[in-house]
Amino acid sequence: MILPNQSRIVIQGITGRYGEHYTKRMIDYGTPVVAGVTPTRGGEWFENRPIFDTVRQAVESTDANVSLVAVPAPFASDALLETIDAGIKTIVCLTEHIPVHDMLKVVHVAKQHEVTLLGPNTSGLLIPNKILLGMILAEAGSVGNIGVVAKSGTLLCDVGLMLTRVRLGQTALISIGSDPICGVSLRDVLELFESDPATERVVLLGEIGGQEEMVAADFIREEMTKPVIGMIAGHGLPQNKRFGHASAISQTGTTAEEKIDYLLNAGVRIAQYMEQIPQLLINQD
Amino acid sequence: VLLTTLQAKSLLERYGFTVEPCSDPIAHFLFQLEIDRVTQQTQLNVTLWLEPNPHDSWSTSEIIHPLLGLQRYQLNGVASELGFPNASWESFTVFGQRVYQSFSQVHAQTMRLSVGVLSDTTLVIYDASIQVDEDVARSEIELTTVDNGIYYVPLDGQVACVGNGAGLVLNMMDTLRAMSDRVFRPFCFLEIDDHRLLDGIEFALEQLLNEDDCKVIVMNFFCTLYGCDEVAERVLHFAHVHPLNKLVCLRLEGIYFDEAFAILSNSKDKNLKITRAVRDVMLLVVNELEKGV
Repeated sequence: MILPNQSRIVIQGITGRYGEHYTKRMIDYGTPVVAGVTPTRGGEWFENRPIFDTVRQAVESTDANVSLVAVPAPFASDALLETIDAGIKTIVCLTEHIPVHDMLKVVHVAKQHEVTLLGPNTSGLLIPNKILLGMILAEAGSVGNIGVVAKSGTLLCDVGLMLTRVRLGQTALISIGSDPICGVSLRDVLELFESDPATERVVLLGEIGGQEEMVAADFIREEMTKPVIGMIAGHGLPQNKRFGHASAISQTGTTAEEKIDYLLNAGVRIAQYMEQIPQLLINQD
Repeated sequence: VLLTTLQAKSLLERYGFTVEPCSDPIAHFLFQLEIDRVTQQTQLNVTLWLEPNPHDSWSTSEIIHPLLGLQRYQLNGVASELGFPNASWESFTVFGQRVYQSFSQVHAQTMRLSVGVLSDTTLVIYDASIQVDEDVARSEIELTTVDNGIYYVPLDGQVACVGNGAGLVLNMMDTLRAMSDRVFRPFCFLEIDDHRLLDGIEFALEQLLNEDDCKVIVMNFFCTLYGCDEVAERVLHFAHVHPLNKLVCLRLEGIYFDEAFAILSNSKDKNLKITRAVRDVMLLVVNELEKGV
């Protein structure tokens, strides 16, 4: 799901503090990390994986076909364009605080080159017992038939772990990212879950701000056959304030209440808060 | 970040524009550039009003290519659509391209300029509204909404809601709302950047313990970078140095929870509680606040 069948992953920013931390966890999980990239560090090794100066060198030497970008924001749009230029078709970008105008350009180029870009500001994705890509807690996932998609990474982890504890396993946990301009959308992930035979139902975790959930709701109403449980975080908030995420701005037309109404009309069952989700899923059984 | 008129004015001056009163215009137009998050495109909207009857207006719009920017032919198209006199096209296209250049250089999300057209085709900006990408504003324009990895929004309730993810904090606020039947409300939204979690916790506690209107502090951390045990130790250390004068409820989840629970179980501080479920922590909070009522 999202990833190619034989994923070979290169980590951009592998020698950074967080790059190192999360790479070790991904390798421990069994994720096929084949290389790292840090300019000026080519020729070194990390956890028995070669480090290259450029993505193109990493692709040529290791056949890497997926990139995880964990470089600081000032260098991230350049790193993303480098990855696209090197011919990689699947990118997961963890970096937060990339300027919106830079992302407009990157997303445009990614679309032109038919690249799947998850993020930026995503926690990544977890396909239980197969692949962990990003910052999601490995224990949050267990094998099952529920597809979980979220904007917020921590909320995704929290919900995943809660479902795992009550033996409600998942096909995938996917965080699309909480920035105003992202590559893969909530709707895109719903489309993946709808076409994935192993996914029987879906949990959608949205929040205030933006129109993503409305677009997703239209897809659910018109094309989805699988049941969806939804939650929108941020009820009753004052208007025109930003709550953390760059895209979580409470504005008329994007409040939790408005989104919930829209999702309800699309046939989505709504949890008022996170801990109601397992019960709604169990009641479905 | 929506800039005030003065900030917008000074920003535009950096790009060679002046914002000033405009007398005796023959026409006005609103020149608006905006990033549409759904289509992920920048759009130019221009609305024209003619004096002396400003109730009649005409509008047109153009989609701007993210790599190529606003082109001269597009501005000519706008001028043509809106029926600008031929003599004014040159000043309009030069103006439009300069505005777009400043729009992208300041990383604005929206820019709305009210422009007067004088009889000699001079264009005068008399009002400006600019919304800037906060990630850029923080570093370039020095607007301080985020300090030291802490994002803070003051609210009007009793319960400080603190967490290491916006979604987590929003969900806490929703749970409080549901558990207390909307009687108790958040005192604030406070998100601590995961990368600065331990120092951020101390900073947040120090501030919130001194807020009289904040009756209870709830901290909700999903630990993947730092362990729950490190968070517990830091909170305990803080409480040792600064006695807790109100209830601090800690909801922890993630790596090393059992160790954290063991660490906090040894604490004899009655104002420090730990739970693993958000619902449980909010029930504790509601019970505490109901005692006060």
